[in-house]
Amino acid sequence: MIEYYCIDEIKGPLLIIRGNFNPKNGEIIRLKSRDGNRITAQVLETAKDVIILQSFKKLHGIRKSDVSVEFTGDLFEFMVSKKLKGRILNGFGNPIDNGPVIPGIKKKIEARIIRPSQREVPRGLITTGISSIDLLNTLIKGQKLPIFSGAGLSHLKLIGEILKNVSKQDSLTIFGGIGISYDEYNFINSLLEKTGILSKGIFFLNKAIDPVVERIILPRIALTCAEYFAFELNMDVIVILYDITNYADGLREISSMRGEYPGRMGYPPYLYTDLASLFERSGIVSGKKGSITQIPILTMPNDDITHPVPDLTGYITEGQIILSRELEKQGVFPPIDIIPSLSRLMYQGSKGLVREDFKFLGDLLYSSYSKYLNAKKLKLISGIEALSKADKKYLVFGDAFNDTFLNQKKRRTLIDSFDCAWEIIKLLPDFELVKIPTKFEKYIR
Amino acid sequence: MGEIYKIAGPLVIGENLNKPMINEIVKIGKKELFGEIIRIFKNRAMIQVYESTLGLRPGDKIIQTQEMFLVELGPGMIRNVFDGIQRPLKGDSVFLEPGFVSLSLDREKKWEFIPNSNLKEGDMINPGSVLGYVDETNTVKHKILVPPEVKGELVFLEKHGSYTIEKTIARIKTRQEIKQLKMYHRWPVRKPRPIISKTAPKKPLLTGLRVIDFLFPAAKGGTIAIPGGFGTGKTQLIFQLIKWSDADVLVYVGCGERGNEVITVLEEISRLRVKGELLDERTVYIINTSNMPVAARTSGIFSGITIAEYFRDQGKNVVILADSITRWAEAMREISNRIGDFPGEQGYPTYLASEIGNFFERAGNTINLSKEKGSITTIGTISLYGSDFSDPVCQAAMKVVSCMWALDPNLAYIRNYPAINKDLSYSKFIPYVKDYWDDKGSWSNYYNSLLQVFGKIKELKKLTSIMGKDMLSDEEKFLLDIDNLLTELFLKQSALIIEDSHRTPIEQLKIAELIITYYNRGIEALKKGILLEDISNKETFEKFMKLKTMRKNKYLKEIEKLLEDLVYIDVKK
Repeated sequence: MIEYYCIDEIKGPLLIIRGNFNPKNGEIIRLKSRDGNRITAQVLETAKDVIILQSFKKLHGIRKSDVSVEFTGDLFEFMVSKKLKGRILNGFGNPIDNGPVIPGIKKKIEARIIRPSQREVPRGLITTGISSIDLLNTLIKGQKLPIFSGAGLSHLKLIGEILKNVSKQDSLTIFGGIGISYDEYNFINSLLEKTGILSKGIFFLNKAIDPVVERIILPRIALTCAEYFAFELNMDVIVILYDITNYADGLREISSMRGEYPGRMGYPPYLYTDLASLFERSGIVSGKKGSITQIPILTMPNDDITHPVPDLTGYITEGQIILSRELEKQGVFPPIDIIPSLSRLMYQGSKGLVREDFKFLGDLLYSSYSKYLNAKKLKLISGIEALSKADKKYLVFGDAFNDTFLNQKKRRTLIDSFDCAWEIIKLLPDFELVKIPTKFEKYIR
Repeated sequence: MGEIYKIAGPLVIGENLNKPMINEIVKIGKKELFGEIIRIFKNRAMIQVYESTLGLRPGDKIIQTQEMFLVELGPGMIRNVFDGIQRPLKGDSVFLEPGFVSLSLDREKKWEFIPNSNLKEGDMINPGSVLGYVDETNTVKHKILVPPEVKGELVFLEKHGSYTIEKTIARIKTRQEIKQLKMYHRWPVRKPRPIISKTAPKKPLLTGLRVIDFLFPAAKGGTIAIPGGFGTGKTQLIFQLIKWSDADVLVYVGCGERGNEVITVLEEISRLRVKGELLDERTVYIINTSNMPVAARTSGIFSGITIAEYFRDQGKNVVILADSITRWAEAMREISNRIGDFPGEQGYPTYLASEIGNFFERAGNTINLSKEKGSITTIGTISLYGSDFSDPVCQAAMKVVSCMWALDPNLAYIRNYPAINKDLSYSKFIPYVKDYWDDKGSWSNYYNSLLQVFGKIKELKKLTSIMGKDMLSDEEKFLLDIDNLLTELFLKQSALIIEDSHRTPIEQLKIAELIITYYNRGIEALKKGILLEDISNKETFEKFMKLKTMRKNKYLKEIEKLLEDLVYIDVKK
């Protein structure tokens, strides 16, 4: 291989080469500095005279005259293998658990497009052990259902509970930690050590101090891996990506360095397309037994759901689970605000798989809880005297809903969640209770 | 031969091209990726590529086709699923491979062609003249027309028989040449197909949804926008429209939306029958999911409207549903930003509004070249950022549409679907469809009464949100009960309750009559001193609520019975 000294500019993670080299769009480039430091980079933009590269490593202390460039002619590939199960890797797919490098089948990591007519309608339940998800915002096999959280909320604890629950089931978990802080890194590591979920999954971790480009590569590798296990090895794969806001920020950083026109809040105008290229790598396809279910998690800056990242995510995903700071302060765990939360596929994807009272119970809880919130608002303005008898009953119901249904000391099976819900239904005013069809009365004990 | 000079995302700059033409289609690289020339400068041209450009390198060849992007129009489109550039999407491989080249319409399939018996050789024929007929499905009967811009003497017309679309079915001697006509022809998507004239809308486009048909009616040939944030039930509303719009042909353009959603649409429609006819048999699908190449997303909308125009030219009423206009606008923004155009509001190109206009304005009631009437109704959804209506795409659409169904997250949160906000929505079609409705019953009367009641309810609710309900007068409490009934029986209409998911105009009129009469009679009774408990209680509420799950005949009968009961409501027991 010929090496060239042709770097012309360095800005942030970007390197600019001038010269007629004509590399492929997306080609992997190997850089070597005179002191033996090796850096991998990727072609972002290529022309007959100027090439823009993004570096996979931080470029501190690099002199442009020091770096030699070698064109590989290859696109980025990741080696997938059954042996990845139980391993911890970084965002570029290199092991960080002191284990050996895993040989396998080379796969390009960029999104391939599932032929729309080959998709199947998502079907099948994935129980998380969380009542407010399983009963009211059910996760369906092949669905992408994000969790919208805020800084400092207990989303990581929630992820831990979900991880524990799904790894009991016969599925593979792929976790991608994107730009996570050292504390979070420790939390996840100790979770893996203590609970034995490591053997049921593959873990990709990129820390906040790691290079930005790694954040962009990580979900692509994780999803390539997921596609291999789901569509070639016929497994049900659950992909958890945390935190998508860090991913989008990484994308913004690189975009602005490239001098692209900014869209909303400085994010690149192709943010929607880019996020879609990740989230759409989920689903069930005909003729394959496996499935990919995604739970992307993001923190809403300033708890603002209209911020571009949650906003665009909500448009791509099939619903959203929203965590509430107010509930968190009340000591409710998991602090899921059911009112704006939604699983678009829950009824269609669970037909025939759940108990007969599933839909009725969900609707009743939703409408009663929103009446509770109205009564609570009224109480704040006009005091308890303004409340009718029924409103007072809603208050009792709603408080019980928060304390015993939403709030969970331990994970519940789906049947436990049903029981727990019927227990608090009893507290509703009489005219709500008479709406209960006779065939469901047996569930109130 | 031309070659690549530069690659940046979905854009390629080519050089050494031979007399490049704006909108010319080119094939790029070894895989012959589909591209379109969008700018020409000096010796170079900018090309948007309808596939992923990864793996291309500068110096790769570019082949020019000397043609603009054309769609193929003829038998074989119904029930077919195309991408944004009309490539058939049905196939066996799980993943789409870039650069696949295939013809839009099936060249092998034979169609039964029935020549127009009124024509004979030697006749002078004009654009729009009917050459013959092909029954594509039970529902859609093609008229094979002389394409626009062709006229002359008919020298040959093929006999009745089964032919592929490549077979010459007629020859026409024009001034310049003898033209061979086939069952299909090609048309550039950017160019509206010619018509004789446009007329004002007259007939409502019925959807079976009360809040739409009764309060914010659509009209055939109209333009409609459905703005809403995520989770406001846009998709569900679209499903309802696909199922129930009374159109002869429906063109569904899935533009930058979810893959799982698209397959749900495809599955649901393929199973559904309305009045014994499979819905699938009248539908053309154009699908570009959010993860498919962005450039193809920009063209899907125009491919769709061109196909709609082709069916309109045959005298059909066509509905085109574009879901969503925002994703389309974003695709334009992405391309325009990459080109380096000076950006307008929120980075959108400054030509956003005119492009949106170009799409919506191709709707209308028309007198076609064949002298027949036809119509295209365009319905576009708009994905609002954080439910903010000041969004540039929404504002641009509002300038051109005559009807808007604004979706409200607060209604969606309480599962009040369709979540159409009565204050923000509007329909300028009311004067046009009034005659139709008043022909069915005293619609104007109930329409106005409903508006009044909704107004009163709104004020009262403002009051109770501060004061609570205990100090309300009986009349006010009764109004809240009426509100409850209106919400449950009139405004809410769930696709999950099959009996209620679609109601005819008569059923809609009857339920409006029932609730309005109940309200008026109830107030009279209260004034006569009848107790509120006797007028509105659990039993009456339940009696009303039973209507929800009743089918048509039983529904109307039960309403009549309830109306009779109301006559005696002010009689003391």
